[in-house]
Amino acid sequence: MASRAEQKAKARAERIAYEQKLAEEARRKQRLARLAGVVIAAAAVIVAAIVISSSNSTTAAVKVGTKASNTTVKRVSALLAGIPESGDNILGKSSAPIQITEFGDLECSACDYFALPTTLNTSAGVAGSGLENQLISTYVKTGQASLEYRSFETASGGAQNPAIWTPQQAGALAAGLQGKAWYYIELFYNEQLAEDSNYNQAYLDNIAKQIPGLNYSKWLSDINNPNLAAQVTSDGNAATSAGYRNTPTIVIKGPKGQAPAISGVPSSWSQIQTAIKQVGG
Amino acid sequence: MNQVVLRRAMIVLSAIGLGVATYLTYVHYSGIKPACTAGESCIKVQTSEWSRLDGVPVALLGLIGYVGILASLLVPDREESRLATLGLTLIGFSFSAYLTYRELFSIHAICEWCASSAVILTVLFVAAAFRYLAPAAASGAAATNGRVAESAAPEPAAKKRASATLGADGQ
Repeated sequence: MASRAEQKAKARAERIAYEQKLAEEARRKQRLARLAGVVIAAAAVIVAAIVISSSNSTTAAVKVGTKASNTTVKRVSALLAGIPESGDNILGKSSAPIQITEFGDLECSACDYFALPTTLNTSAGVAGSGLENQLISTYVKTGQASLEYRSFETASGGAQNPAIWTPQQAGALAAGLQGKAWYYIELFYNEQLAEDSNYNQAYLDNIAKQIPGLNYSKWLSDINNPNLAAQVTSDGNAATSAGYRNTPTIVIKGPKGQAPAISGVPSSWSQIQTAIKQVGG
Repeated sequence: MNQVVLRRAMIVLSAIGLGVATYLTYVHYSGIKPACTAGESCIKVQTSEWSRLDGVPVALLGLIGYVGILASLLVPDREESRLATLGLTLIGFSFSAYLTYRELFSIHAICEWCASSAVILTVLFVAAAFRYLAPAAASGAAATNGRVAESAAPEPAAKKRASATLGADGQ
């Protein structure tokens, strides 16, 4: 039989074990409570971040006649002033020794970055590259190069209204039938909404209405011309069969042949100049 | 995995993540093109509407997040610091998952810098969860780890007993 001292020791050990178990339990509960608190706090932060992120979308369309529209039209007019247009999408002298083709999607933000001057921010608030403006004023305005715009869908198809793709691009060609394709293109990029926005016919109409001197009702009937829609499709097919993957893709041709296509936004002005020199410009 | 090794690995990963976020923040503010193998994808992502949160570049938020995670890993290893790491990596992981969703389904372009940060945050989150929860799982059994259990002990008496019963740091 166990001695009194042994019994005491045993009781003490049991008590300690029990207390330890209770402490363990309390500790476990405390850990879980803290964990739950942190998870709830983290969830609140994430939900708030996602709500803010999702709501900062779609910049409003620039309405015709507003101050913002007038400023943009003035800027685009200054850029394009005195430059002839030919075909339904070519800016510059048709006899220019260098022919530059841009494959673009009017909703694509990289094209926007390429098209905008450095003084303007894209819809995401990043300053434009200024490259296309420099290209137009250095080579196209001086008659050394022509600049053709062809359609290649890379962004519009995934946006909220993919069906707008064809009329949206045909809109440029319809304006081109009146020698104003590049007004439409430049205005579109200058006022481009965030990618994935809900572009619709009313949006296109608003772009056309801002073009100085455009016969709007003629444009409105031309935009549904099946030949222009076919041209949009064949532009895309040409880009695909040439193996192009990005917009913008810049193709430069000259007396000495064709430079390797520049896929995506050119990394610098000198990349464009090098390509032009390479083909004899 | 050894807890010390795990912590060191997490510190290294956070430092890499901090580097990526610093680069993207620099790219955002300097207006230069990020180095990118996939054409204009990075530009597309970096100039998209989701590249900012109420005007603040998400790259900068990432940078701040990585600094926080790194700090929580560099302070003395306690239950509170592990919980802080877990909370921060949970936020980082969830938000980068959301941004990856936007890349795939709204922007239709993947920015490899952003994707690498998303992978780093996923690994960090899993590691942080393991690091916080592993001792809890063990404490249900007869033995528990030393240092963390000690610091988490609710009162001095229990703390003393825990060290007496369990002996030296189990890690």
